[in-house]
Amino acid sequence: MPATTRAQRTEELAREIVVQRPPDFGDFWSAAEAELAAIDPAAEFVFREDLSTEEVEVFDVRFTGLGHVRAAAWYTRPAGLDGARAIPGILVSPGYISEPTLGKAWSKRGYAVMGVAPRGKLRAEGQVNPGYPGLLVSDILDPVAYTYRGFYLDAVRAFDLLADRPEVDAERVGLLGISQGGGLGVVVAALRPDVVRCAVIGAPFLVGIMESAALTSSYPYQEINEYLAVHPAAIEQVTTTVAYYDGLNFADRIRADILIHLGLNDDICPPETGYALAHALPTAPEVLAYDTCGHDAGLPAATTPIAAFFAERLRPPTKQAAVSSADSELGIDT
Amino acid sequence: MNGTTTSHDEFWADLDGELGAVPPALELKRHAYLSGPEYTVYMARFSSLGHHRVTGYLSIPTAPGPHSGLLELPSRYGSVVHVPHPNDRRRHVVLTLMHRGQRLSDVPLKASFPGFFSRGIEDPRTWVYRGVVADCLRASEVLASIEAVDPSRIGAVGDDSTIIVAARRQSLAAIRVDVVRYSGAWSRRRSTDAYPLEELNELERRNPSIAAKVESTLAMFDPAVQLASEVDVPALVTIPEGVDRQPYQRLIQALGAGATAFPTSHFEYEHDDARDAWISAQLGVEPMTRFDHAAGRRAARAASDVA
Repeated sequence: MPATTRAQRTEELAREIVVQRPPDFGDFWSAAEAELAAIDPAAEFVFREDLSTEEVEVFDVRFTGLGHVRAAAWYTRPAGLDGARAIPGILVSPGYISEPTLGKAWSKRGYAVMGVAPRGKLRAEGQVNPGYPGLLVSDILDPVAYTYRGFYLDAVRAFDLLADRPEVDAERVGLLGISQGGGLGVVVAALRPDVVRCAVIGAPFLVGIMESAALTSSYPYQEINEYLAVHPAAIEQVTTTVAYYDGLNFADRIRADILIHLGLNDDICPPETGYALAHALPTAPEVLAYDTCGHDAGLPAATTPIAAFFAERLRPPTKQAAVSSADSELGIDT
Repeated sequence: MNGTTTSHDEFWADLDGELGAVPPALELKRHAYLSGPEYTVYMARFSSLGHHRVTGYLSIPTAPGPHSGLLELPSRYGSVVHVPHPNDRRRHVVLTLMHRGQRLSDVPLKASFPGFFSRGIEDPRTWVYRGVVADCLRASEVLASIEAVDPSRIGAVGDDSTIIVAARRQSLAAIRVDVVRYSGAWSRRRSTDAYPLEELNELERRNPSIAAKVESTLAMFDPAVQLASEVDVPALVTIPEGVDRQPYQRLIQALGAGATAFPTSHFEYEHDDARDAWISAQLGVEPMTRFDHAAGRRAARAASDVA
């Protein structure tokens, strides 16, 4: 059941979280996007009969991202589409240590789903492989070289590929992710404000990054603490770099409808940073806060409102069935 | 006991014999980033079945020992294993295993997810999880060999490979089964399209004729068939909300009087603390929470800033 008093207390604490926006933040990402746009995605969709069912078709997707790095995704769609009517799409972004989502559960309910595997994830680690732990601090002293730059844009490119699919209605495309997946949702929604219709953001990672590292000793943020314990003089540069990547600095660009779900005892992504994101959005999001939950952020109880949120905005062609309570179907993990 | 007993015993004896013929050849390399004033962390490399080199995080408290030992066995289906939490590094000698196929243990076998769970599953001798279980058994031997460990206070947490290790080795004092992988897998597959069990459904769709062989392989590893009855240490078995309880109840029954069922409702905060309290009590250390309320964290940090 959503909490009240602790939620209010946490929301008040969120107002203390301030992230300095680099003066060239907009130019930084415009340049990165221009760099990406100049690279042919060279997308390949290979049908995987072995993974497909009577209800869902599965494709192994490969594409090229920033720096000509090949990344990957799983693409699933309802079987037997006749092309008469376009279907809605959902980009599912992975958690920090989770494998990319193969979204059969959502496709059974009428959605085309792209489960992106940004660089470093399995099937996308041939050229870039910072390891886990390691991604969060990989080349963190240089904002342009920081591995998350290409990682973020891999998610953006996967979204573009989804929205461009002929069977997908580009006006009915949403985002889903928990933890790092939620953080990537913030980025994609901000960099594609005119296309993303709605986004479900659970326990967002990469929001209030330095504040989070100060508040927890759980991974992945603990990677920053450990890095700074060995390199204490680097704190200024680390703070500068991650400011270019902090979800709070992307938030004011977002136009999509947002649902944020949080666990008020989340040790991995401190819940006040989720509220800080809510405050930074131009339009107040729907927030579900669960008092007795940690990084599960209310799952599986939250699956019902999440399914309803998408159904209302993306209008899948088939009647919405109750979403399974299996966490893995929603890609929860860090 | 049932008709599978002879082959079951032979199977596990063969595995032990084969593993025993491979020296661990343990190599420790200090990890500068993960080490700190309260613990030293090593990347541990050791040989397992087939001389496959597997890796683990080995953390040893800097305070004088002996310390309790905590063996962290697989708990999720994927390529990445988290570093042990600082709370555990402070209290125990911790060994966290990356089994064959997972990152840092992926030469020459690199796992695909999905696909790993069903690899070679048509025969128990070729199933990749025979090697994974061997990795778990070998990890338990490595942890028990660390001088700083109190051999009477070693616990294991993770999936139901903890039960297999407890049955085949006498080094464990308690086991905490947070998730099940092997128990009732064949029946549990019917109610899900989530991985890894969906791999069994895919296999059956593609090749129905091997279903009986797959079922037979899974039975060999299912702790409830025999191995659980050989465990004589306390066990806490988590039963998640919304699942068919029958496989869990069967497992708990097979474990016997030492088993405690722990039904959960996905309220991670309360349940995680309760599970930590249970294993802490078994191993004689103070419980610790990973969950500090936001206000408490901020107050602590403010006090620290003032100091």
